[in-house]
Order: sequence, then C-alpha cells, then structure tokens
Amino acid sequence: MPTITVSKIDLESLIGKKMSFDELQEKLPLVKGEIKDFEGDELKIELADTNRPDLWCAEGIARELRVESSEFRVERQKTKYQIFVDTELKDIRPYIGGFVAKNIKIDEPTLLGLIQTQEKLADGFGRHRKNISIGFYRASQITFPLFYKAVEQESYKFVPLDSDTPQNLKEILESHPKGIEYGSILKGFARFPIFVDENDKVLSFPPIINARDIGELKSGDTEILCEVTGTDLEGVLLILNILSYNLFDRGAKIIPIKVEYPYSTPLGKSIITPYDFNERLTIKKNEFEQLLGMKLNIDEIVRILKNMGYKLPEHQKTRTPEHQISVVEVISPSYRKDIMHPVDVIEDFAIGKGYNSFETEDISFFTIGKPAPVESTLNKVRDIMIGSGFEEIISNILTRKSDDPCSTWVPRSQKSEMIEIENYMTETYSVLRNTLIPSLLNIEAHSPKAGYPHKIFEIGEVVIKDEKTDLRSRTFYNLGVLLAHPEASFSEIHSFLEILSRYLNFTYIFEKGKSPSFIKGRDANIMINKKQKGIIGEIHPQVLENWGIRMPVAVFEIYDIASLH
Amino acid sequence: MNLHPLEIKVLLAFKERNGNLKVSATAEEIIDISKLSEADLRRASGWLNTKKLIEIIPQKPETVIYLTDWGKKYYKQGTPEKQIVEFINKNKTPIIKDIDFLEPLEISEAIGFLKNEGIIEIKSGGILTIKNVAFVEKIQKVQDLINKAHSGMELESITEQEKKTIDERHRERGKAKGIFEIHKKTHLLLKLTPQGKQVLSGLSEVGEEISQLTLEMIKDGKWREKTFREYNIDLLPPMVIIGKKHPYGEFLQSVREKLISMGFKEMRGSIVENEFWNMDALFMPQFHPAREVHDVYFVKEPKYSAPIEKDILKKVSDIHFSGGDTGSKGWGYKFDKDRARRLILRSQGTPLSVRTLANNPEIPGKYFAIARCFRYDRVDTTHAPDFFQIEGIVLGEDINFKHLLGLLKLFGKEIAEANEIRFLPTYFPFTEPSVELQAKHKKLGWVELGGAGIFRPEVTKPFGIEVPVIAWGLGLDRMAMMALNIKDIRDLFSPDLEFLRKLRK
Repeated sequence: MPTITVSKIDLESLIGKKMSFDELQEKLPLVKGEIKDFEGDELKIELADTNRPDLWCAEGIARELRVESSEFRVERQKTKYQIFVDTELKDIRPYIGGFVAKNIKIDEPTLLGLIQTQEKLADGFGRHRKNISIGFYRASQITFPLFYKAVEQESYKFVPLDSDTPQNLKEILESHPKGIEYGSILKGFARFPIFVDENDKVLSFPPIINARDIGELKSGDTEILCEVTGTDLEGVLLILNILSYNLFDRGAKIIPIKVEYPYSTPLGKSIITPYDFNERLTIKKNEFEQLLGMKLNIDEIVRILKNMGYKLPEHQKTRTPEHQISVVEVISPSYRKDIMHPVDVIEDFAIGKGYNSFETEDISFFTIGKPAPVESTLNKVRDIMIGSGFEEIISNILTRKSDDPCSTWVPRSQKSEMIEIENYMTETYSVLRNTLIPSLLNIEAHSPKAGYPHKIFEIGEVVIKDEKTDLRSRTFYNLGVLLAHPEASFSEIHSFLEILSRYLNFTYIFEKGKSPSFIKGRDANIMINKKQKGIIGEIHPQVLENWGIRMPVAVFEIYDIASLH
Repeated sequence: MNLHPLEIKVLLAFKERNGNLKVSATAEEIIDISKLSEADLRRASGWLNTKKLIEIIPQKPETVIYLTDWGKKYYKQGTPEKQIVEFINKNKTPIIKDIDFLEPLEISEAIGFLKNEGIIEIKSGGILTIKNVAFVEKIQKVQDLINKAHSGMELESITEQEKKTIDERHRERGKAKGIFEIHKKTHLLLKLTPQGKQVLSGLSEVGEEISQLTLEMIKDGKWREKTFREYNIDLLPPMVIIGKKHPYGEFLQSVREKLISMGFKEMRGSIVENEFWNMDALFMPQFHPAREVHDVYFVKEPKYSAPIEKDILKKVSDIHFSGGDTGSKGWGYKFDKDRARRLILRSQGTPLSVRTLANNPEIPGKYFAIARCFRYDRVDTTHAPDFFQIEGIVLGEDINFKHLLGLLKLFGKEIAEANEIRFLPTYFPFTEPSVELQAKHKKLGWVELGGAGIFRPEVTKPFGIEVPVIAWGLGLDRMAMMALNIKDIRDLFSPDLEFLRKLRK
C-alpha cells in the first residue's frame, strides 16, 4: 500500500478550507486513506487502493475531498507544441506525451510534492520506471518542437543531474548512480532513447536521467514542461492526465502537446496529450439496487457520483423519460483507469454515500456448520495425548534445510523430499518441513530451564513432494511426540504409542529401524497395514549434542495421522 | 503446639544428656547430634524461626576451598599433567595416542599446559619428551594443593602463590572441569528462645504422632492407637506439570467453534498452490506487484503444477484480457498460461474459497478456513514466517452489500466481542465493494478486525456461480496476542516450553 507524506496546510489550501485533524480523519475513507502518523504539519497517509495512482498525492486526495470536482478542460486543437517520435523507438520505449503548465508558482512544498508524486507514480505504478517514467523541465529554456529519438549510445554527451561532467549515454549507464539503478530497463538495446529540443539540446535520457539545469525545477519557476514515456500507451496517458489535473488544481494553465508518431498506435499516429479518455458508462439503476440492497433514485445516484468525480454526458437531457429513471449514464474521470465493471461505479456510489450510513441486514438463510473432516480425528488424538500428560506445541512450518543441526536425521523413507523455496529470504525459513521431529527437538533445545519431565506433542501440517498429484505435493497432518527426562526410554515412549493405538483403533508392528539418528537397536519403523506410517526410538546422543540438548530424549512420529481413524 | 518431626529433632538437639538445655548451638553441632541433612535442618529451622521458637543468627562468612568432582578424581589419580609426566618417565617411546588413561579433552588440555609451561616437547610422530626437569616441580605444587584442599581449606590459610594457582584452575579450564571450587559459607548460630525452651521441656521423644496413614494400619486397625500430626495447610504444594492444549491453538479453536455455530463449513487444502488458484482466479493481474518475488514464495522444484482445466483456464485468461462475458473491460494484457501453473506457497486463504466455488458449492452456503499462509516478509515482532489466516465465503441468491455489513457486524460482536464497530472503504483486487471492519477494543482502541467484500463477477462467473458471493477475512492475531498478553507475534509459536507453560488464555 502506498504511503505518502503531505503538508496539512498544503492539503487544506487544495481542498479550499481548513479542517481539523478529526474532520480529516473522518473524510479520508472517501479515498480509502488513513492517517498513520503525524508530526507538526506533516501527515503520513496510507492509501489502500493500489489501483488508483491518482490518489497517491495531496492534489488527488484534495480532489475527492472537495465537494466540487475540478472543471478541467483542455483546449485540444489550439496547441502549437509538438513532439516528433523517431521510428526506431517502436521497439525500445514506444510512447511519449507531455504538456506545458504555465502561470504556476513553483515553491518549495509544490516542488517536494511533485518529486514525491513522480517517485510514487514511476516507481510504484510504473514498476521502477520500466513501464512509466516522468520528467519535469524548465520550459523557459526549451525551444519547440521537441524530438524523441533513438540514438547511438556514444553519440550524445550532456551533463546529467547530480553531476558536473558531460557524459555520453553509455557512460551514464556505467557510472551514474541512476544509470546503474535503472540501466537494466535498456539492457539488450543497441540504441537508446533521448529527448531533445529543436536546437538539439538534451532534455533527458529517458527513463534514466534528466539533463542538469534544464531538467531540474527550481523554486520560483513559473512555466514547466512535463513529459512521460513508457511501454504502454494507456498508462502513459493516464499518468499525464493525473499530472495535468494536479498542476491545474494548483492554478496552472495547461497547454497540451501534440505527439506525432511515425508508426501507428492504438489511438492513431497523432495524439494530443493530456488525453481525455471520455469513457462513458451506462449502468442500470437496478444493478445499483441489487448489489446494495435498497431502493434508489437516479438523482441521488448521479449527485453522489458527481461528487466522486464522475461527469455527466452533455446529451443527457434528450433521453426518453423511461430511460431517465432506469439508467445511470456517467463519464469516468480521465485521471482514472481502474473502472472495469459497473460494480466499480457502484462501490464509488456506496463510498460517496458513506458505508456507515447503510442499514445492516442479517443473513437469514439456514446452513449447517461443520468442521473439516480431519478435525474429529485430530481432536481425538489431541485429547488422548493431553490425557497422557503431554503439552501441545505449535511450530512454524517453514524451517531450514542445509545447516539443520539435525543433519543426521533421516525422518522417513528417502523418497519424501522436502519442498524448497526458490526465493527464500533467510536460510532459517527456506523449506517446508516434512517431519515434526526437528520442530520438537527445537523446543527441547530451547527449554533446558523448564522443569522436567518434558512431555510434548504437536499435531501439525507437513508437506512432501509427490509428482503424482496436481500440485506435485501433499499436505497432511503428522503427530510428533517427544519425551525428555533423565530416564526417558524406548519402552516409555512405546507405551504412549500403544495407548494411542488402542484408543484410535489401529494395529501396528515394528520393523527394525536403521536411522543413524537413533541409538542403534533402540528404534523402529512403525508399520501399519504393511506400510511405514511412522518412526519411534531413542535419539542418538550425537544428535542431542548437535542440538545442544543435555537430556535423554525418546520420540515417535506418525505420518498422516488423520488417515488412521 | 503441633510440630513436624524434623522440628522436633532440631529442638531435641538442644537438650544435653544430663537434661540441661543449651542456649545456643551451631548448625554443625545440631547436624552432628540430630543426624539431619543440611537441607532438612534449613527447612526445619526456618519453620521454628517463624514459630518464634528459635532465633537464627548468621555468623561472619568464611571462604572455603573445596575440590570439584574432577579435583577429587585428581586427588586419587594425580592431575593429568602429573600422570602424563609419569607416563613419559615410564615409557621408552611415549606417544600421545598411547595415553588411554585420560579423556581426550583432558589430554589436549594437559599437553597444551605442559607445552606452554616449557615442561615437555612434542617430537615428530607425537613422541613426548621432558624438556626441563626443574619445571616438573610446578606440577607437584598443584598436586600438593589438591591434597591440602581435599578436606576443605579456608582461604585465609593459604599463600598468595597458592591463591594464584587456585585462581587459574577453578572452574575455568574447559567447561566446568576446574579442580577447585570456592564457596562462601555462612555459619549459623541457632538460639533457643524462651518459648522454645518451654516447648522443648514439654517434649519427650519423637514418634507419638504419625504423619502418613499406611496400608498396614488400615488392614490391622492400628490407626486407632495413633494420633495424626496436623499439617500446616498454608504451605505451597509442589508444582505438577500437566498435559494441556497450546494456548494459541485454543484461541483458534474457539474461533472455529464460533464460526461453526454460525453455520459455516470448514474448508481445508494444500499449502503448496499454483498461481492460478492463488491469484489468477482472483482477478489479480499477472503484473500485480503483490505477485512478485518480494511478496510470494516460489517453489524451487518442481516449478509447475499439472495443467489447469482447459475450459476454466480459457475463461479466466479471456477475463484478464478483455473481461470475457462478464461485462468487464478486463486488465487488457496478454495472459501467460504457463505462469498460471507456477507453484508457490499459498499467500492467502482465498484460494480455498475459489476452489470451493469451482467445486459445486452449496447455494445458499457458508464456508470458512483457518489456513496457514506464507509471505515474503522480514520476520520481526509483527511478522511471523508463517501465519494463520481466517477467512471464508457466503453465497446466496439475495445476498447484497447490507448482508455483507450485517455479517461483519456479527463477527465484530460474536468473535471480537466488540460493542462498537465501523466500516471503512478499502481495496482488494477481487472484491467490489470492499470493506474494512474495525472494532473498538477495550484497550487497543479502534483495531482492524478484517476485510471483506462481494466477489467481482470476474471471479465468480468462470465457475458458473451466478449468485453474489461475500468473501471475508479476519485478522485476529492482534486479538490473540492481546488475549494471551504477548507483544511479539513470534511468541505465538514460541519454542520455549517454560514460556508456553506460563501462557494463559
């Protein structure tokens, strides 16, 4: 979930009124937001909606919290600004767009806000600039038209941000911190993208870094160029729309830019950005009513959706009266692309109405509750073990493999391999356990101070590989039992297995064990219906020493205990 | 006054043969006369002290040096160093590996000591020779000291040089294999109080009162002739260790019982899942950040599950691309069908719910699962390496948003026992509308209790489910931690038995 830092004063000025902390807290559900922390004027707000990048900034939050939505219009046809795209970019980073924001006063908080937004959108939504990257420039130093080109790696030299010396593109990737961080995006391409103005002055090397001076906004700037490049046209346009709304809401005049492609795009060869998606949604009133469980009237729905940023189509008044009372027609805001289905609009309506204003209703139909089928056996086993004086434990299923201090432990037939994790974070939690005995020994190793005798058991899930199943593995419950005290012995642990078999009603025989983890001649495989279903024995002192245990230990384990009953 | 037999023995020790009463006696004297063990004397004199029959007066402490078990062994056999020197003197070609009268650790330590002190040399082939005979004396000094300490010696009585030797050799070499033990010992003087004197003069001999009723007495009826000593029933009993359920397990069990009482059927399934059921079927796009290596654990080998049923796979892949026939726009990307088979550890309990939807669920129906889940997270006080998720679904013809809120309200009341709850909008890729349930906790204030929503049509349609389905999940770990009074989530799975014995729900 994205968390952003905003200035409360800035947020209030964007909303257009002062708000107390509690008022703000109360309103934030409108943006699925929650104040996580605050210090002085600084609020840390967590935003739950990972699919709404427009909300990850003060402007976006303010937009939803204001009663009146932005009356934002771009005069599309009047632009004289252009970006020309080089044909070779089609396979490298095909899409670009931009706009110029005029009459804006860049001050320190605005600058910080822009940088945060750029970071959240490019790194979060844009997958670390892979899909989307953003550049801001000082428009006063730029001569239009602009060119987005693919060039030889060593052909252009410029001074990048945070540097003093001119470097070519190859050098930047090799030595500039941002080049090293984001260089992998351009891996495998012979030519790299570059963004220049009419005089061939470098603006930036997308998606890596801007040129110094021209690509570094300063407090006091009044005119900025905003550019977005990426691999997915819809994403590029969405981000441009969000950024243009943000600057518009800060009082800027937005001048669009016409992008001319030599290749065709889903929206043609010539696209003016920001781009109004103008997505029209037609939803039957009864869809709202069914999902929300209440009678509604169109006026209320439309009024609330308007507050949530939706627009009304121009021709709405011309519809038939019947249509007017049964169908909701709205246009989704162009800074949103998350609306995929009528249910998304219905949720927005419910949020606008306020979740806590809904009457709750009990589910009235009758169903029979039941535990999972294995539970009755597991409960029975648990009762027998507790009746036998054993204490139950619950351990983690993730465990270690390679430096298992119990490496001489061979818990069952060699065939049952453990499931290993490819991307484990630490060795300690790198495999799924396939036996409970190490879990029990781990308890013993951690509990020398607990009064003896130790009689512990775990009924826990284990996982083994099994190529014959759909998921190439099986998950089931084992029973592991451990006894530790100065006289702990095979015969004592055996008596608990015997009592278990009587009450669970299974018969077993012993087959001489061969595991080096046990004292020779004091272990056995537990055979049930001619299959090995467990293991029993006195743990070998070498294994005890490996675990740092200084007490005789006897154990038994039964595999897939639920299958026995 | 009722006295314990031990108390009587202590008091009688103050009585001299001629019938006179001693005013005071040292602990040693009393042990000598009464033949009590030190521990029994300590207990009995403690009781007598509380009954104000005797007074215990500690004397100036003194430091006494004793031999450890090792020291006692060396008193008999000589120190390992001494034994090795003798071994060298006795044999023509003394080789290290022929030393069979000492333990390996003793050998390596003794040889090391002798070498460092310049007493012996090791020649090729492990042959030992005496290098400097004059230094052998040094070994003898240690031996002399052992002989001296055999019956205990007071620290004041030894020389500085001897003190130094003791410092070097007490409980230091290896683990607990020192020769000397230093004890601070406080002598006690027991003094009879006037009340004590009175009681003692009334006491004749031990044995008139009995403590334990025996089988024989019951058989032969001798109990009739006895009086039973009254017990001090205020004493704490000895601790017993009993079998018991795991406290966190009990907490989960109580949640299970509550859900069953509300009509929910329990689901159970595999810990290893494929991406299809864990994510694709939940309409999480394959480029979703929560599907990356930094969020989900991937299985190393084998990497892929068996193929997913073609018909279902096609429906889901179409829905991701263009919405299929669900009325959705879809995510608009090309679905990777191989990726759907990629094996992972389930990161949420929801695949159990989707699998239930795919498997002819009862309509109307209610299902739940308490599922162990796994996420790529740094393990700390709020993140366990694996954790339990409690969640489920409710399906029914006329289910709507108000029922969803009603269900959450019921959970708040029945499971969290909260009087006040509230609903907040939230986001899950697979539900719309989505709700977060918060409950007001007596101590914690507003806490998140769970999330829920109505499954998107993109999730339910591929399985032919045409009725609305509520999906819900409860995050109860904070509640469990509160109930068990623990601060670190890892303690829910603590490996410390002593800690577990103290946990109470």
